[in-house]
Amino acid sequence: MTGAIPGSEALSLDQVTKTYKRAAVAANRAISLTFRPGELVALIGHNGAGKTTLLSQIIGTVKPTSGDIRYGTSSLVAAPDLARRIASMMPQMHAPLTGVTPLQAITSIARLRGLPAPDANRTALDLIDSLGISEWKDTHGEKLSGGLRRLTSYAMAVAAPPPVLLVDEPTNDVDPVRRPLVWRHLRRLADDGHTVVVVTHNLLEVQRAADRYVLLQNGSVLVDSTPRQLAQRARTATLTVSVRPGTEIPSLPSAATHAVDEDGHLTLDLEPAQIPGAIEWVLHLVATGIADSYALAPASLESLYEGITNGR
Amino acid sequence: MAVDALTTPTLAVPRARAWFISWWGLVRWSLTRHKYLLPAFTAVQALFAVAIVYGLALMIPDVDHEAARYLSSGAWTLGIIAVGCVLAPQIMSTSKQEGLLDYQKTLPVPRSAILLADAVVWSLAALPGIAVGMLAAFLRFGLEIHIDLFTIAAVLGAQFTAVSIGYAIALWLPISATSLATQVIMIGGLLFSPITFPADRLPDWAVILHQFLPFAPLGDTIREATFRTGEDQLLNVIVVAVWAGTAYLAAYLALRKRK
Repeated sequence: MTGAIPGSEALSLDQVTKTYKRAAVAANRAISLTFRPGELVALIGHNGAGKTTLLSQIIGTVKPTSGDIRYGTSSLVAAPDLARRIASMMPQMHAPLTGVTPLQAITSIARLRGLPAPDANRTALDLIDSLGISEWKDTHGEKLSGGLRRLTSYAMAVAAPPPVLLVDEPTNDVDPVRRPLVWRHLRRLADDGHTVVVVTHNLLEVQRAADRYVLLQNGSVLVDSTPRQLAQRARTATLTVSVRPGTEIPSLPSAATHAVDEDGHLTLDLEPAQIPGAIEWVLHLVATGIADSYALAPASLESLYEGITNGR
Repeated sequence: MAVDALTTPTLAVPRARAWFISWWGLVRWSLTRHKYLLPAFTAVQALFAVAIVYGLALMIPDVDHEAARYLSSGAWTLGIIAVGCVLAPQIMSTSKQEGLLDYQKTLPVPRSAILLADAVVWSLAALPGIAVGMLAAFLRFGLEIHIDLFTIAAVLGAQFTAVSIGYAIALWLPISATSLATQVIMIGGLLFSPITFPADRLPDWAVILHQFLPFAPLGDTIREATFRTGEDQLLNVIVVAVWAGTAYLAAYLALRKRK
């Protein structure tokens, strides 16, 4: 099942631009990125930022208007058939399951990817077990919930996995118990040498699992960063204070920024030097009954995301 | 979680698989997806053939041998047109709507295998209907029906042509227009094509038009293959081959097209 082309090559995008016919603006603009084997890359960004278009160009169903996508030295734009061999994709809208059970669907894809029948069946059962959906393995697709369909769709993408895995929003609709199973599985695949590119809006989960974040905005790469680089960039902490309704806050401590949301939560972004003063201040608020509770945490990817994209 | 290039395992690129293996994998998937619909479809096709042989004969008071040959071969041809130009495009439209086609396009399988997997499944499912139609024609009219390699080639060729036309329609037209186009084909095929009646009943211009549309030549070749009246079929075969080749190429190019 393996061939002459050497494995574990980097996937590189060179100035990839895509403008759809009759579209006023480019979906992707001059994107240059390199994804390496063993990396779990989170592709994040607003709706319409160009994330799915980027994946579709890698798998070869969308052709770049300009630029090139290479796996090692082989151009995937010139050879879309090769793209489909080196990569598999979990679509944004889950894979169609009409008339088939999860076991049948996953087995079918594993066989199409080259596994013999017994191996395909075993792989499907292992995936079903590791995603915690054994109870529904023989239930027809039409009767599955959205989350179960998405998990099945995920399993179809990673059954007999090729070197590059393109996964579009794998945990949408999935319950909180099974979401970590998906992320753990993705992590294992990356550790096994696969290049894993995940489109997601779930920043909390990404923060725990990804090696690298790529933030797209309006079709361009706005941030391409590792967690360490991001931590250095985010030398702030966030203090959230739950203020008792109807009470006035006499004064504020020194803080980089502060904001009050609709629920009466006061949020302060703090530089390291501002933290001691802010803690003293909030303890006083709690002691005098002005605040009910507080939480101090390092700046999250979510708050950074909001800050970088400026809420757009 | 930094990636260490030295300790990261090396993965090889999967080799391209033989066309037939990919095609067979898609056929198996199609059979699994349609396991309940296929027997029902086969039964309906058989009823359709019997209904035309017996039903249309009721409209004609004295069915002579020529009329019987037209009614019988017309029933089989209309069955083939119904599968290829109505059912196949509707199934392809459903695949487009459900995202199955887009999903299949991401799999490591040849585009031609995608095209021919469902086509073969539905064409084979239609064969019992044609066989029942032949039996009905034999019982109703007592006709001598030739069944040999030439007959089988004519039927399979007609099925390939009709399915290719249907897929070309479904892959190039929007879903709503596909539905309309298949209805027009079925009404035109059933009522106005010289398939169940001789062409000389139509005005000259319609006869010429039908000589270059695919449906009447399909009917003529199937009639000749099953009844051997000695009519020359060269022009019909050429017309059918051109339609088959053009439609298949159009469908194939539509599948290969990248957005």
